[in-house]
Amino acid sequence: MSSARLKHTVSTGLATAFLCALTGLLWYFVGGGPSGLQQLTTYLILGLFALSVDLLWGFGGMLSFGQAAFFGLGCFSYAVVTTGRIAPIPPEAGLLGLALGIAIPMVIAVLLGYFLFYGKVTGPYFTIVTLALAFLVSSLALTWPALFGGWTGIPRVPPLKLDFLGLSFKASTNAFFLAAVLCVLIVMLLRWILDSRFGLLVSGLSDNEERLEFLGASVARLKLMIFVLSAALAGFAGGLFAANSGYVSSDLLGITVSTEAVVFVAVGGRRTLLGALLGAIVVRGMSYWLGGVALEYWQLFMGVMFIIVVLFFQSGLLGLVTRLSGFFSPGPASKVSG
Amino acid sequence: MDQIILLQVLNTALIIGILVLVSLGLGIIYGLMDVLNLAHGEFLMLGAYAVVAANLMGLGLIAGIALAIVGVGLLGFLVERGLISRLYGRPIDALLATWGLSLILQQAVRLTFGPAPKPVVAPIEGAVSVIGMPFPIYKLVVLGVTIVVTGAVLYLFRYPTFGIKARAVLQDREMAQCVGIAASPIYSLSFTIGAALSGLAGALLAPLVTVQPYMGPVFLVRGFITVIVGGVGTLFGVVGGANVIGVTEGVVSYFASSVGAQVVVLAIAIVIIRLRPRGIFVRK
Repeated sequence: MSSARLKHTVSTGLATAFLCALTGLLWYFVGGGPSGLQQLTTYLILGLFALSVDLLWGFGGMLSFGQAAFFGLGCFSYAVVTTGRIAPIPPEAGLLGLALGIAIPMVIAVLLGYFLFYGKVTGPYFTIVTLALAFLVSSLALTWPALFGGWTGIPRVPPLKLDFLGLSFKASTNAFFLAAVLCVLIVMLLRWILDSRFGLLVSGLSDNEERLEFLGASVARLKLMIFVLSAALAGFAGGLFAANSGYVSSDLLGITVSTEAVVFVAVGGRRTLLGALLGAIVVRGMSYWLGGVALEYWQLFMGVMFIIVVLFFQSGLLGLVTRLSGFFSPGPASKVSG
Repeated sequence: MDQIILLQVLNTALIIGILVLVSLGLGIIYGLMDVLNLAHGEFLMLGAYAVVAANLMGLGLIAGIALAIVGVGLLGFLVERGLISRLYGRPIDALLATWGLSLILQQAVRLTFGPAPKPVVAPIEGAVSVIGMPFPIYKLVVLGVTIVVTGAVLYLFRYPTFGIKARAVLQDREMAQCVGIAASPIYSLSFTIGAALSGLAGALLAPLVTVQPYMGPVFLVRGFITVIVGGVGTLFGVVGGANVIGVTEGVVSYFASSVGAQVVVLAIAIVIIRLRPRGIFVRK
């Protein structure tokens, strides 16, 4: 175990904790009270979802417009289990729902990813295929109202409760702290993984795939692994989202939510982990600040964000901060390998 | 039974015609400039709304079609000059930027015309009898127009100087530039033509489908699958790809369902990417 790697992981964790604490300070900005705190919890959970996109796109170099399919499956797994929609509510329903919300996307990602990556569907083709899949999944979900609730969705999804630990996350403060702690832990875990040999290879995917292949790495296998990991994270975020928002609908599987996550990552800064969280908080915060008009103009706003980021600041907000202060340096992985 | 099958064939031919118009533009833009234009579906949607706008002004379909070709073509020109030309050599960024553009166009149309579908009446009433079954004249006219336009585009990219230069750039950009072909005006004009074709497809489709702000992406996806299947960098391949996709969609949705057709078409696309990454109609 290298101490540099440990140090890098801890410092990233501290930076994440700092970011979560800053987010907590936004409480009065979003109207205070439990509902304000619930808003902030949503930002953090969407940040976790954005992390899954950063993992796939920022590090793995695969831009997907279908990531919300995994997020949505996580949402529905939790909602279906905890509302007793198809079977009686089991004990520890929340935990089971979250676990299924991780497992089901992983299984689908293994099957789908196997065909796509061993079938050499790469680059822009991958993006197009995921776009097509996103449409397919949302129309399939609508044809199965018994499970997905049709156009109305599933209301009254209960908040998370872990009976064996005697913990309930019904209170908005508890839910917020849970989300913040999970954010810190997951960012640290990802940092730890990405600083490993496997992580270095994954970073190689977005740098030069061909060279990686020549060096003897199995590109298809690497891609599959990162795809499955990111599906698991997206599904987990989905489960948390359902528990926090109390309502799920088939929109959550669709293209708009996928797009939103890509915006979060692009705005926050690709390939930085922290940028994904920051992007979710800033973009969602801005949409809140736009207030009543935001709903009407939200999509317009996202479109403009895409273009501004691409044309003017490709490295995102975090890149801007890094350039200004050099403080939040994501740290080149090469430093750590020794 | 024969008549039903014949009607099915005619309807499928119509779908293929529209797919060709949409995919030609996509294929040209992707083949020439390496840009996956994710706003291409919105160009089609704007073409359909051009007809809606013409109707609101008391003008007929012909004026609507003219408006669609000129208006969407002009928009395409501006988009290429203002946005795409800054992003050559950065395919993923171009993809993101055009996705942003598509979101903006959808919302702009939604704010202008409202979210509800707009009815457009078929301008040519009446039907002809196809061995005893009525078939709308308008669909036959559309079929004719798509065939003529496709022929014209294939000619344009084959024989005139512009077409020869464009194909030179398409085959080998660096070599073409070395022998003194300026790529920039070719990009600009090709993007404009591609956009105008998509606008035309939308205008022709307007009386046949529900016109609403979010109609674009479905055609975008089908168009891309057509290009992938047919082969990037060949216009005849695109026509072939449209036939494969159109017939598959027609047959599967006739015997099963339209969702089933989507699944099958996507599966075909993936298999073809695997087995013939450069398309069915490209010689290896």
